[in-house]
Amino acid sequence: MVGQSGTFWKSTSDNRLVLKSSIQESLKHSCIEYCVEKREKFSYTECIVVMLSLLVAAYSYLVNSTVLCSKTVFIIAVVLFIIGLRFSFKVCNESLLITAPIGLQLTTTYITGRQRVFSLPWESITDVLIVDVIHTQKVLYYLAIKTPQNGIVTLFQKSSPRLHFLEIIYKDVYKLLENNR
Amino acid sequence: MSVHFKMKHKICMASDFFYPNMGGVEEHIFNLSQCLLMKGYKVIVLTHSYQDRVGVRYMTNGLKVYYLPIKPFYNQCVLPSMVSSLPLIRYVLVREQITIIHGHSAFSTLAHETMMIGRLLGIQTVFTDHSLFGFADTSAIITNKFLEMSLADCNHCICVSHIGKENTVLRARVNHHRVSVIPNAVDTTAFVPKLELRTKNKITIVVVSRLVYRKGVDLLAQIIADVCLKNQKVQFIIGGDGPKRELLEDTRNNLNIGEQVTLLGSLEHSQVCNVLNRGHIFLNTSLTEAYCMAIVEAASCGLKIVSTRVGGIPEVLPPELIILTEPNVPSILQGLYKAINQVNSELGVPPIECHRKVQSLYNWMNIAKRTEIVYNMVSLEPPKSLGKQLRSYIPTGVYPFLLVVSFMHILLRLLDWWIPRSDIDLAKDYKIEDSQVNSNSSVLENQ
Repeated sequence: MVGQSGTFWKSTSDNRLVLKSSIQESLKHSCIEYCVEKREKFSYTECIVVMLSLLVAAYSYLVNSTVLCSKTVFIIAVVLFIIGLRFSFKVCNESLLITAPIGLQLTTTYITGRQRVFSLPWESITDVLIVDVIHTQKVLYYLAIKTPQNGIVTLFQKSSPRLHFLEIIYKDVYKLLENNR
Repeated sequence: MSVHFKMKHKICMASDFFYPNMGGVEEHIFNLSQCLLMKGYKVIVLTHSYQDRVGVRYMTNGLKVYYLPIKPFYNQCVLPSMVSSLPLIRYVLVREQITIIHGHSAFSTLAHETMMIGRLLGIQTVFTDHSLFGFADTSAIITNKFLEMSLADCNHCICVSHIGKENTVLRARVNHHRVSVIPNAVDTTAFVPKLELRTKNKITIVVVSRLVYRKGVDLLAQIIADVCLKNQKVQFIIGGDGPKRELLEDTRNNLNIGEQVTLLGSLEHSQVCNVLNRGHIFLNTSLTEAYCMAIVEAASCGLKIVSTRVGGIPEVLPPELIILTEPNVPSILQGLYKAINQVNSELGVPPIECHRKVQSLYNWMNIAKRTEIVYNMVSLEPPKSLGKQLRSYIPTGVYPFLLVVSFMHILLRLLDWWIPRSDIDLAKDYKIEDSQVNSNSSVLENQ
């Protein structure tokens, strides 16, 4: 039922994210799959920080002053450790799969290849919404599923796609819910 | 509705005080917003969070309220750090495409902060001052200076009474050309006379106010003692709570007039109408007052009003509806006996007539129309450059503040680069259904 992986029928993109769907238009009454993927896996700033710290390490190694060396090595180790930690929690893509009488599945794939799956049974999906959320110093739109038990569950929390992506997904999910009520 | 050129302003009401908090400012913001929404403007409200109430909420007619996650610090106000919540406020202003910021209440630091950020973003600002202020004590001096700084670059101010205007012009040194007077209104449909609730064999005097020094509770205690001992057929109903409640309780117990004086404690706003309707006379003993909502509400219920002649009170009601006295015990007593005589001999304006008069004088649509004129005027003012803006702060004499403003400007520039406007999703406008718009416009025509 689900299209073979790798063959994407439709994809839209903006400067940060790519939205892909592998389901044919004719199948959308019973099944939806959307995948939000980051365009660049590493941001410029992170690359620059890594390069700089390596350069400093090389420089201090060449100059070979022991005081400078031990301190800088320590600092660089900490910086690299933090960046490594960031990488391991960095999300590469999030994909949403909704199949009509079964339920919803949200797969989060991290850059390290680790995957986390969140799923909801069909009975607990009552409605789909786009909500405003105040997140740190921003007010963002999120796609959300209304459930009787857990209240509102927000989707695509890590990649937080822009409104026009959410609208595309929302329209399809809404149609699907309406058809299978 | 007449067809004329109308600018569709997008208005942001900013204040620390909003529902679920209760009070005059909150009601003012809510009612004004509702009327502006009916007129087809877009209105959002910006306030800080209340307990678990954080985030974006919608109220009647799609009034969008942002409860920003900022903790109140003193007296329901946020700490005026000017910087820490700047990115968030900028984000909201940009995503809602605000064209006018309307700040409320001199105490509200969030209003001042939002107005300042708005000015730096090139948005026009209007400020409504709701209260009168002294000049002598420390807190007044600090607040006045702060207000002066804040209003130095504000486009226009609105005061609720002429006395309030005088006060604001003096303490904040605003040019009086930039100050308008637009009074408060009362929802007269909620305050109708119900004569059947009145006591038949006794005359009831109602007092509804916070029991604090400013409201003249000391005078009230003496008056109660005097009236109750002389006149057995008079009873007092007192609504409200505060530090001076003990004084009233002492008076009641010492003179043994428990049957004649009822203390109700603090009242919900919905209960006020029923309490007012139990009385014949409404007594207000305030020592200072910018604009007294309570006497308008009482007059709308058809009560005889006895009030002290202080602040903006003489402007509020026409002379035939109110008995004005000096703020001392003999004068108030004289006024009160005059009112009691009027009730006994059924002189003066009858309650229904009274209600009709108040209704014709006060309604929110009228207030909204007058506020709209201010908005239209303000929106035509040319944008100011940063240099000009900074220069307007110089007369206040607080030079470090120029640094704060410059720093905010730099921060905004930085944010323009870090989170560019193109990265911010614009908020969708709430659409009122056609039938509702039609009914609203017919309401407008009627008024």
